[in-house]
Amino acid sequence: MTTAQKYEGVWVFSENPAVARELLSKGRELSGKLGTHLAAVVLGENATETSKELIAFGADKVYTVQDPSLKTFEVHPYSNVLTEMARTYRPDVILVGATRSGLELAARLAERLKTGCCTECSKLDVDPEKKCVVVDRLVLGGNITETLIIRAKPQIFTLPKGVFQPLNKDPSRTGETVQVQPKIAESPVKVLGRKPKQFAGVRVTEAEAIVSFGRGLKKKEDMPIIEELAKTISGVVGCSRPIAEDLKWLPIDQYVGLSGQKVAPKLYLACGISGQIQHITGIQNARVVVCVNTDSKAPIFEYADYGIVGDLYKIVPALTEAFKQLSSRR
Amino acid sequence: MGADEGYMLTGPEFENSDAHATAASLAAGIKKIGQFDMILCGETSEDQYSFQVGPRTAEILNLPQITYAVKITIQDGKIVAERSLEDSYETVESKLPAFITVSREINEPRLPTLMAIMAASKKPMTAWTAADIGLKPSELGRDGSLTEPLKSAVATGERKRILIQGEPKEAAEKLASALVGEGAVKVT
Repeated sequence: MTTAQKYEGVWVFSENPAVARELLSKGRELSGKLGTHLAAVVLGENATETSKELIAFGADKVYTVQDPSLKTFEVHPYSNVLTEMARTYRPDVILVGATRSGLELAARLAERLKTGCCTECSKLDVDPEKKCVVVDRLVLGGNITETLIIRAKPQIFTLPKGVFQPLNKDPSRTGETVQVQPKIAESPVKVLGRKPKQFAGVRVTEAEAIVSFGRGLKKKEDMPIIEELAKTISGVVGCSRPIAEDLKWLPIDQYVGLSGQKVAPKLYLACGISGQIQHITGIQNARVVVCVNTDSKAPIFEYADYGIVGDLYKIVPALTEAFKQLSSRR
Repeated sequence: MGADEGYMLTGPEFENSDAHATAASLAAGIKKIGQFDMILCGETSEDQYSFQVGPRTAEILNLPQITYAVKITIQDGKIVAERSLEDSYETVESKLPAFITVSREINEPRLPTLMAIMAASKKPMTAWTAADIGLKPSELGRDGSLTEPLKSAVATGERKRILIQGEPKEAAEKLASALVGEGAVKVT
């Protein structure tokens, strides 16, 4: 491998193929504005097949590393390989999917390359004069939007999953595949085993409709009124942090918020949730937000498309009934 | 709460450090302390939420990193940890020394007893400035950071904020129709 002369090109990497397609869509836009090419990096076993797919979803170039030891994501070999590739080919920008694996990879990679990294960027654009990427990200519990640039190269960013829409697949697109064979050292951390997490029913992160409740629900025994509404609109039940963390009425994976699950349903219905910024940050990608709360001054009303001031014990069953009526009229 | 001694990196020169400059400071402090078996660190801060300081410090110290730990045990001089990922738990093993970031679920902090609080005042506490750990001002704070904040603003939502009036039944019916109308709910 000969080292590139200057920093050029936008790279995308995610160990999760669905997220990689989302990154390509944003990457296409940024590479267009920067006047450069868009490349994807694939590590693993079926790298060649995956590369065709990535070209169809927008990549001009795909760097593949075909090696059985890279079959499953592990931070040490993955960051070693990506560091070596970035030093050789010198991308200007690297977009990484903000999965838990992507986050630990991006940070380690950035430190080894002695460059900056902005995680979970909600907005990315190009400064036309400086020819660098400018991003927005939420800080201080979601209260403040910070606008940043990176002073070194490559500029590394992580993008939340489920926010950027992938491009339509175009099988007629053509691109170049570059096979890379870096040396792969053994990981100092050995994986002994993996076990899937158990989720009760559909997960909130996958749901199209979520009926969520907070401290406004007085007793655990009252949960059926929420469940009934969720069932009526083919949704799932979610909750605020205190319900899962302090009261433990629902599993930790069902609470929505900055430190819990970040969700992107078509409908998010918040019942008896006051709307702490911690919670709001978790629902910012919902298409429609509805709230029901007795306190008309609760912050949630500021962050909702529709609000009803009232007692959830009356409104929620009435809503269930209203949806049932609409359904029976069809 | 349990520590036998404390080290504090302090001074205005540390202000406005990004994840890189923070990691560089921590690594320099840890090197000065010298010997250790394991470094435990939270997976992320609640203010920046960047998930970077742990892995970056591990990289500078050239240590194996185990992130998102929810359970840690020592077996035959090695660390065995359970990691919480999106869809799975992963059990990993590493030699010591190692760098671990932990998730909230790992435990509940204990409440210190009055005796412990009184004993704490007699435990050794060392404060170091940047110069004490061998860092130049250019390696810290805004100058030592690799990211540059341009501006910050209060985050605003872009929601319609329509308040639906009426008695519960009436309000519920209006809301249900509106939601079906804009395709947020599909009734079958």
